[in-house]
Parts: sequence; structure tokens; C-alpha cells
Amino acid sequence: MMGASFTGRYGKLALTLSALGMGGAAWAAGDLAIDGQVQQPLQWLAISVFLAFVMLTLVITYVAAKRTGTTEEFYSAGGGLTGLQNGLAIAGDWMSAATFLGMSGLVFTFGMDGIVYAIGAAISWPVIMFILSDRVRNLGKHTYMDVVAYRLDNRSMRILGSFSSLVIIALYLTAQMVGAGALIQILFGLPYWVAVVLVGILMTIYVSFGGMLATSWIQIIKAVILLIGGSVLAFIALSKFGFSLDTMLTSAADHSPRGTAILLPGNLLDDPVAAISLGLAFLFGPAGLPHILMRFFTVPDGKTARQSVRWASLFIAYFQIVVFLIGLAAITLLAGQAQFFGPDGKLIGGANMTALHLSELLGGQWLLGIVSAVTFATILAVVAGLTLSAASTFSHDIYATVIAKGRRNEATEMKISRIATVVVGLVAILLGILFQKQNVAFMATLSLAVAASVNFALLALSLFWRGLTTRGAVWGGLVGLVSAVTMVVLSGAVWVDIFGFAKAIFPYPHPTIISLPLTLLTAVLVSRGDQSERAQAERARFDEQMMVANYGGDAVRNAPHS
Amino acid sequence: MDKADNQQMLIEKAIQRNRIDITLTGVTAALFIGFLAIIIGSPKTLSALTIIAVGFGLILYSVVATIFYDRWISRVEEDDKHDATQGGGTV
Repeated sequence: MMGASFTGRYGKLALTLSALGMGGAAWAAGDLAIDGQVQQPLQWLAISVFLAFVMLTLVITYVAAKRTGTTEEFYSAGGGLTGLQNGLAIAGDWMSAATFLGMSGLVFTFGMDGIVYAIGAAISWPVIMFILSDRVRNLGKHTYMDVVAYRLDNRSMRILGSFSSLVIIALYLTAQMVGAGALIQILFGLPYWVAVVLVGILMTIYVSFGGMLATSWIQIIKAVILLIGGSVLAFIALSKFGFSLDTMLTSAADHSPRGTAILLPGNLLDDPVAAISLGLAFLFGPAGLPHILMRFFTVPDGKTARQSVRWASLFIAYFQIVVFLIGLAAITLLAGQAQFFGPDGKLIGGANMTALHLSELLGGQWLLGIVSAVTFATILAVVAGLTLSAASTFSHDIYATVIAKGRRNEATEMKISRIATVVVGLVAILLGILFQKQNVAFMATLSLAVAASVNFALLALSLFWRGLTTRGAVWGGLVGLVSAVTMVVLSGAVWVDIFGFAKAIFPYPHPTIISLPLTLLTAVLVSRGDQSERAQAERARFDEQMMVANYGGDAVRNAPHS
Repeated sequence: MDKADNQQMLIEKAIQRNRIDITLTGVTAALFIGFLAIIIGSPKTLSALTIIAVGFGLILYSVVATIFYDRWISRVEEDDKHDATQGGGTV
């Protein structure tokens, strides 16, 4: 096992949350773990397919590097992507290996409760469409902090936003690296540290040379092959049931150790407060993830940003249904296949290996090799996106705005972006190796909680509430950040499973139900009490911000008062 | 309509859109939280096919909502551009 055991409701909820693309923590432990000690012999076919993918991505990076000379190109691919391209890239960012493996394992293990997670992965996209997409594009340039800082104090907001973004990315990236190391160990037969170093080096090359253009195209290609790979696997699996959902359900009840209970909800979700907290994280967490928000700046205008979300929503919804069906089919098809089960009666490598075992069963070593390579490609693309987001936070938000105070030099900023990329790559490798033996399930939970409670809350308030002031935003953000971190530390995922205490102090696996309202309440109360001159000026700029958010920059440039 | 009136009209339209967007977000949240409540509240009375049908229905909603919303806003933007041109302003 990769770490301490992680069982019970806390563990199940926390780690299955990450199964939806929130990170690689679903692979970390417990019922849905990938058991790192079940290392395979070297899988040459999978390695060959993967090497072909790496070669292709390096060619893309080479071409992109020639077109990446300015910060605009580095951060935002020059804003030249189409809605379809960016939609695929967003879907690629969201459909991580954890989504593919974790979701199918979740349905295989818990049955009907898996549908909640499938919906959860899709339901945040209408929210992002309604309140963020075109507004974020119209107000921002490179990172989401451009939006929050539009009418508030630039320096204060950048410091707060950079801190929360880096916390989110560090947690997410560590979870991905640990999951990647364990996964590659079992898929390819490579030692853990080799896998982590390999992922770290490749992502650093992609981002430092190719910037957003290379990262986007790698994400697009990966999204396409993941969609095709998942569809092929689902098609073959469904054909075994004559494409009848009814037959598949009846058969699942006959073959599952849970019997007919596998067809009923309640195997995983049984506490209303925990479920609603989870629901809030699904709804608002993705809208605060910096690497997702950054994607809105890769298109030329607000209209194309909306089109991106439309496409992303379509691909993600389709993928969730496909993965749900793969998990459901696996209940029957893997039953009785002794070669995939250990002496303890559990799947070899853990439940997250469901899709991979199924691909071997249905298509032999060839399909397993291809699906394994696709999974590795998925990891690479996701960590590249995270690295770029972290590098942009350092160079755009911290260096250009806070340190250089806007008097930045293009060449220096580019150099700092590349140095930041290398540093992030090294830190990611280090964290991946340091946390190898740790339970990282809490990291995915925490990153989503911070995204919902800090980034999303501040974005929503700044866009829709005239009364928000810098003082309110800073206090609200700090309260959200501290409360989310504290509650996760006091929850079973850390307090019991890592620190070894008998009982959790905070009884729920996810803090969003408390931390999000706390942020909003603090920001509102402090803003209402703020009667400073700066606060008056910030409120007075709300109409201008609203005009730019809804109609683009021209609306203000042509206004009578401007 | 002069430029200042036109600007005021656009602000009012933006406020109206903000209200609609917040309402739509609330409806989306209510649908999902409602589904969770039903799943937890009466788990033994629902058939698997019903759960899958409602679940896939919500996933489909996420796609259809984004498509229709995008179309609607794009049409509104076209109308706004037309109004602004009529009023001598620029959007």
C-alpha cells in the first residue's frame, strides 16, 4: 500500500471526490487505491505506445516554442484558440486519469452512488457558463486575479489570490504526482521515483518551451484519444450485454458481492450534511480552479469563451456517461475472472484498476497497452496545465504586479516564467517523492474546498455585488482559506488516518458547507463596515466593471464619461 | 436616444442579465442538491433504472443548458449591438 489505510465514510467520500478529476488522490488508499506494490514486469507494448505519444508531444512543443516569444503567447497562446479547441483543452484538463480510473472503480465498488459523482463532474459547467466564462474573459488577461483585482486593490488581491492559487496547485499537483508514480509503477513496471522524475521532466519541457500553446495542444490530443479510448472500451463492454441497460443491471445484481444492493443508492452516500457539502464542492469548486480559469484567456473574446464551455460541457458529459457504463459493465464482466483478483478477493492493484483489467479482459495485451499509454498521457497533460498555471501566478501576479508594480519588462517576465516553470517542476518531483508513502487523499479534498471557498467566492462577489471592498475580500478570503484548511486537518482524512487519533474532531469529510458561507459572510460584513475612501471608489467602479464584464472593453472606452 | 441614455440602458440590461444568471445558477444548484436529497432520503424506493434516467437527465441538462444559454446570450448581444448602433453609441 502507498500509505496508511484509509477506510470508513471519511475516506470513501474524500477520495472518491478526487475521482472526478480533482486530483490523483483517489489512487492513494483505501477501497479505491492503486496498490503500488503490485508492480508489473516491464510492459513493452504500453511503453512503446506511450513513447510514440511523447515523441508527438515533443514535436508539438518544438513547433509551439517557435511561436512563443512573448508573455501573451506564453500565458494565453496569444488568445488564438477556437471555441472547439479550447473546449477540448478544458475537457482535457478536467478528464484526468483519476476521472477515468477512479470513476469506473467507484461504480464497480459502490454501484448506483457512482451516478452522483458522474453528475457532479458535469454540473459545475452550467454554473461556469452562467456566471463566469465571458465575464472572466472580458475582464481578465492572463490569470483569474486580473478579474478580482479589476476594481479592488491590485497588490492586496494579487497577494491573496496568488497564495490561494499556489496552495490549490501544490495540493493538486502533489496528489497527481503521487498517483502518477503509483500508476506508472503498476502499468509500466517502472520504479516509482523514475516515474515521478520522468513526469516532472516532461512537464517542465512542455511548459518552459511551448507555454500555453504546447500545453493546450497536448491537452487537446490527449482529450481526443481519451474520448476515443473510453468509447471503444465502453462499446466492446456494452456489446456483451446486447447494448441493453436492463440486462446489464440485472446481471450486475447477480454478479456483485453486494447483490441487489449494488443497484440501490446509499452504499457510499448516507449522511445528508456530508452529501450536500460534497454537492457544493462539485458545484462551485471547479469554478475556482486556477488552471481551468486560465483557459478562458486562450480565446479571442467572451463569445468564444462561452463556446469553449459549451464544447467542454458536451465532452465532459459524454465522458462521464461512458465511464459510468464501463464501471457498471465491469461488475459482471470481471466477476469470476480469477486472474484479476488477489487472495483477499479484491481486485489486484485496487478498484481503480477496474478499467485497465477490463481492457485486458476484452482486448488482451494490445488494448491494455493502449489504454495504459492513454492514461499516462492523461497524467502528463494535466500536470503540464497545473505547472503552467503555477508559473503564471509567479511571473504575472507576483513578479509583474506585486514586485515590479506594473513596471515590468517583457523579456524579464518571460525569463521569470521559464525559471518558475523549472522550479515548479523540481518542487513537484520532490513533493511526489516525499509524499510517496503518505496518504494524499486529503489534498484533493482540500484543493477543491479552497477553490470553492476562496477563489470562486471572491470571483462571484466581485462580479455580482457592488458592495465588495478590498478589505472585505481579503478578510473573507483569509477566513475561507484558514477555515477550509483547519477543517480538513481536523477531519478523519488527516486527524485519524494520518495523525492516528481515534476520532475526528470535524465530523465531515469536506468543509465546503461551512467554509464557503464563512467566506461570503465575512466578506459581506467587513465590506459593509468599510467606509474608507478607497471603499467608496471601489463601489463606484462597479458599473464600469459590469459593463466590461458583459460587453467587453469597448463598452467602457466608448462611454461618455471615459 | 443619445449616447448617455444608451449607456444607461446597457447598464440596466447588464443588471437584468446578472439577475437571470444568478437565478439560473440557483436553479442548477437546487436540481443537483435536490437529486442528492432524494437519493439519500429514499434510497430503497428508487429503481436503478429511475436513478440512471434522472442522473443522465441531469447530465444532459448540463449540456443543453450551456448550449441554449450561449445561443440566447449571443442573440441578446446582437440585439444590443443593433440598439447601440441605432443610438449612435458603440458596444
